[in-house]
Amino acid sequence: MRDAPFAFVAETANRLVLQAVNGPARAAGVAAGLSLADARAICPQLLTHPAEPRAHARALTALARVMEQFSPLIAYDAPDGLFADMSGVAHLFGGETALLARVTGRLERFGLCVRAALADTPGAAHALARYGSGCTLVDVGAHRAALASLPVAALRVSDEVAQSCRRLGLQTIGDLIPLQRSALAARFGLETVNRLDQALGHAAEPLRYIRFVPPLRETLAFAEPIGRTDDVERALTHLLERLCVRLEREDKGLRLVSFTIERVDSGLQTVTITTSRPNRSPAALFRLFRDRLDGLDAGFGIERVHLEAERCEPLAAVQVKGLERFQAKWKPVRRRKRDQQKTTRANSVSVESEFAQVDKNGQASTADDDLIDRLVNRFGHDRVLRLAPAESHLPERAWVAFSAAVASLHPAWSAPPTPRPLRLLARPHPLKAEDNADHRRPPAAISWDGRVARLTPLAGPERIEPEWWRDDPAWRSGARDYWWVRADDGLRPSGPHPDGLRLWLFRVGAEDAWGAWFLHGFGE
Amino acid sequence: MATNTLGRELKTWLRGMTASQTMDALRMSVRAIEVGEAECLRTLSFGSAQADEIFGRTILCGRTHEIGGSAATLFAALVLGRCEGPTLWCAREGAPSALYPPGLVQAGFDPGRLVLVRLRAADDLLHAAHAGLRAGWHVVLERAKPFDLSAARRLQLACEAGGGLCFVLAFGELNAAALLPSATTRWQAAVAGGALWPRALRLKLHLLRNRTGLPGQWTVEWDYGSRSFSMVSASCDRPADTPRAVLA
Repeated sequence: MRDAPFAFVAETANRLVLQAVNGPARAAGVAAGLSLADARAICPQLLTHPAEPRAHARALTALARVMEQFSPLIAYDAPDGLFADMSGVAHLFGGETALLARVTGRLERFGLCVRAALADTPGAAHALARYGSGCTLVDVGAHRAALASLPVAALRVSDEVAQSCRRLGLQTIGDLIPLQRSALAARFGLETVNRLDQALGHAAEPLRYIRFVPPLRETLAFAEPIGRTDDVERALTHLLERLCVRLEREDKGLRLVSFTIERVDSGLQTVTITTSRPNRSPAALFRLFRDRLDGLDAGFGIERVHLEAERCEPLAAVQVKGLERFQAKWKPVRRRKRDQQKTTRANSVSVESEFAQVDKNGQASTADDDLIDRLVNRFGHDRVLRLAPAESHLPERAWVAFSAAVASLHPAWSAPPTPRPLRLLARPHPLKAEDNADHRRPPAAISWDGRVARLTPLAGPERIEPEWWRDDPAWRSGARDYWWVRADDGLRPSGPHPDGLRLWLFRVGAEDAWGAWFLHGFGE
Repeated sequence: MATNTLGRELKTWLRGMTASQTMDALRMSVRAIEVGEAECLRTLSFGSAQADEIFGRTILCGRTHEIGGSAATLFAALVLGRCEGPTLWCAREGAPSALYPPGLVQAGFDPGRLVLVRLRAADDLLHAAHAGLRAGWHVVLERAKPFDLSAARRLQLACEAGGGLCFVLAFGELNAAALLPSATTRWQAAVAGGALWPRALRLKLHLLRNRTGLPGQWTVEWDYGSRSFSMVSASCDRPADTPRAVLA
């Protein structure tokens, strides 16, 4: 593959165009920007592969990490290059020639076709790397002469500008240099002049250097494989402490953490926990993990464990001193505690008891959040719920449940204008009306599972219309007339409610076509 | 000097509280002086002196209470509506009827303080209730099966450790073999009369078992407006034409 002509192909404007070519392909006379048909005509044995921009970007990031060993300042030269600032670095590698050889050698070991240039300005280095002889070293101050023979396209100008330059007979950068700046700007735009100046070193070119953030990840490897629960717990505690110390330095708290064990048979198992608020208390996090460790299978032993912070949020430390005496005795009101935290700020985090950790909303993680986290991690987000009112007049839709881990929501409830049941049936239960003389009123008696109860109407009817903008199967039968009735003790024998009951009934239908009665809820 | 400091701190502490919280706190500190710190349990206020006298001494925080009867959910909601603090409601998934939050609002209980745990397995529900109690929350546990002795004892210990209220709602027939052997009180609640929100509601309460006193039977009235209980005399339900002589 390294010795065969190869190219990446991408589709632009309905034709396949070569995006990047390797050395042998270049030697065969194929260049990037050529259409695939033309390239095949020039070099029939050309191998191609569709371009994968994401994979290329990832690879570039990886190469940037590799380049870190040569220079602390690395910047992207998208899509296919990297800038490395070599100021004051070369002597460490034995001079510029040796440095350049070392860089290309290092990268070629990955099987890459490397084109490198070392010059005074980023613009010159870019141009020489792409249009130079492959590996170019330009002495200090010599870049002007080196650039003069390169084509205008090397200046990082648009294709149109390069083309019109060619049409005007301006083949090389050397042709552009003696021209008047104002004329150049008037014809090709300020961008071209700027690029020329940057390449020559007359204009500054700030680069955006990449900042590598070390991942928040802790690893522990064992000399002998471990298998006992105690050992795993101890390892986890150790990792949590290390991670939390790092988080404290960065004023961050964990939202999503995963704990991975690597077994001797190279099996991986991961336990992930979430928290409702950013948290960096090792003890609380350990409690969340402990419930889940039972699910892990150590197999023949565990030889390495990892702890990785998958999502973090800001968590500042703020002083909350002053009320310990009463806090120990009585639970303080939460609102009050929060006010205190807002007013007093501290710049040290050494004494745990005097400080609370507040997230970006100024809210502290409390024992309540700790409980919710534990329940959510054990039973799942869809089992531990907070309730919020919803804008609907249909009884079933008057409220919504959301995961209790979403802590920022504190809905305000207001009482509905008409009496509502305290318990609602999951689906309305059909009732058999025993004696329904007056069709506009509830029946005098109903039978339910063979037992008969006498009813006394309390209130009604309350008509509830379906929401026409929504197709709800339960409401397809049309509007409902709701009644409150009181059932006597007839349901006593083995039913769940031995005493009299207030029931919430409804019936569908209208004057000419009465439907059946249904039970929908209980008043108590 | 020390008393002065304490007084000042107490004042600062009380400033951030609502009236009912202040009353609760003061009542608790008075009780602490009366019976000594160890015996002190948080007591609730029920809105009237008579009701406090009866329920304040039976429905204690840090103790488990079992409620049966048709109005079990309602009674638990009304009592919890009178006290502050987050509440964990452990509901059985797949039960025929489920808690309906707008009804809770009408009963004077703010669903905003509620965290609802919906689980199918009774053991998981018990685990959730334990965790809630240990964290000091009020817990309501819906239960259809009786507890075994050790589970009941563990629930009681968790409740004592946290200091919250624990209500076990008994679904199914409440009979001699009750669900929670360790319960401090066992109630049977039913609605008397047919008043609907927002008219005052009457509850028939039967205290079947009381570890701290005598059992009893009362009719109480719940006022939706002031969210308070008041005691109703036994003769309240007589028909309008009952002769005086019969009453005497």
